[in-house]
Amino acid sequence: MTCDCNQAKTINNSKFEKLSLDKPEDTKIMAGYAEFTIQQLENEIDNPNSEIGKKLKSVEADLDKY
Amino acid sequence: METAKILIVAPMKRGDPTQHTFKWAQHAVQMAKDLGYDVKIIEKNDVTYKNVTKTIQEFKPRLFASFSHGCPNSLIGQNECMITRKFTVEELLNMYSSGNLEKVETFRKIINPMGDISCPGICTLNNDICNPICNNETNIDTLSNTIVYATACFSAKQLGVCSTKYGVQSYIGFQDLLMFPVDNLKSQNIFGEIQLEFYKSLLMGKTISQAEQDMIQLEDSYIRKYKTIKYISLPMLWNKVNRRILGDKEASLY
Repeated sequence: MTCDCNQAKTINNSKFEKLSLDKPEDTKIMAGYAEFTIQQLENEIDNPNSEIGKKLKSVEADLDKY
Repeated sequence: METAKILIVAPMKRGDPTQHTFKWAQHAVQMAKDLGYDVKIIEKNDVTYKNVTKTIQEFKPRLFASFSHGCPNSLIGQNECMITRKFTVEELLNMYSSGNLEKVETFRKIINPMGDISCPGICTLNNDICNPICNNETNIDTLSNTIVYATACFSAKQLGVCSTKYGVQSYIGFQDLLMFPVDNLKSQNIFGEIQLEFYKSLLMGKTISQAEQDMIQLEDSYIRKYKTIKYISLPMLWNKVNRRILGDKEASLY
């Protein structure tokens, strides 16, 4: 899997509440052997070169069906 | 009628996702015991290739539930792969010459067991237990006529597909990463509840396809409930779309 090590970008996604249930720094997303922060998750989604980001973006779009 | 046997494997390391999936496994054990099933659990350091293989051969489970890490070609125990199907030399050569990027990548992992240096974060290949690929002898065939429920990443991609050819009746797993959040509000418990819904329905005597519907109903309700909390709804939907049910969908424990 190729990936890009861009610096963290600010989360800017008005469609979603900004973690109203918790502090972002206390939240980790477990994915296989890795864990990543919400910011890293957002960075992957925003990164056009990230394979997992592309997949996440596609799933994100499907959230509209709910 | 003989009581159905259930074998649960649960490796666990602190600070690792298995710290949480281990708790899900404990719930699974209790649930099966409460319903009168003959249950055996292999946990933590006991989850080795040798021990798991031997236990399957002797115990002959009807349901094998793995709450563990997974790779495309194997399920992972505490420190090594525990369920796998070994590649033959011919298959490896075909992999190399196929021109298929994914297959070539798999081959590359075999001949380059130290892996590549990658960037930190979710792309890290360092310490990736899928790299090198599991080289233990094939033991997926020991699960012939068994229902396999793999709460683990990736294993439905190759191992699951292959397993049905070795006689596994049904294989439930993921073709990509299994994701779940961990936070102070214990959101991980919701993900555990969803994973166990399928398992619970099987214990209640439902078929694979009925259990799947029960699970979908529960996860859809949670996705709707947490739709605007992206770090919950996104991994939840991710898991749903990456889940694969292979083999006989009308199978049940009895």
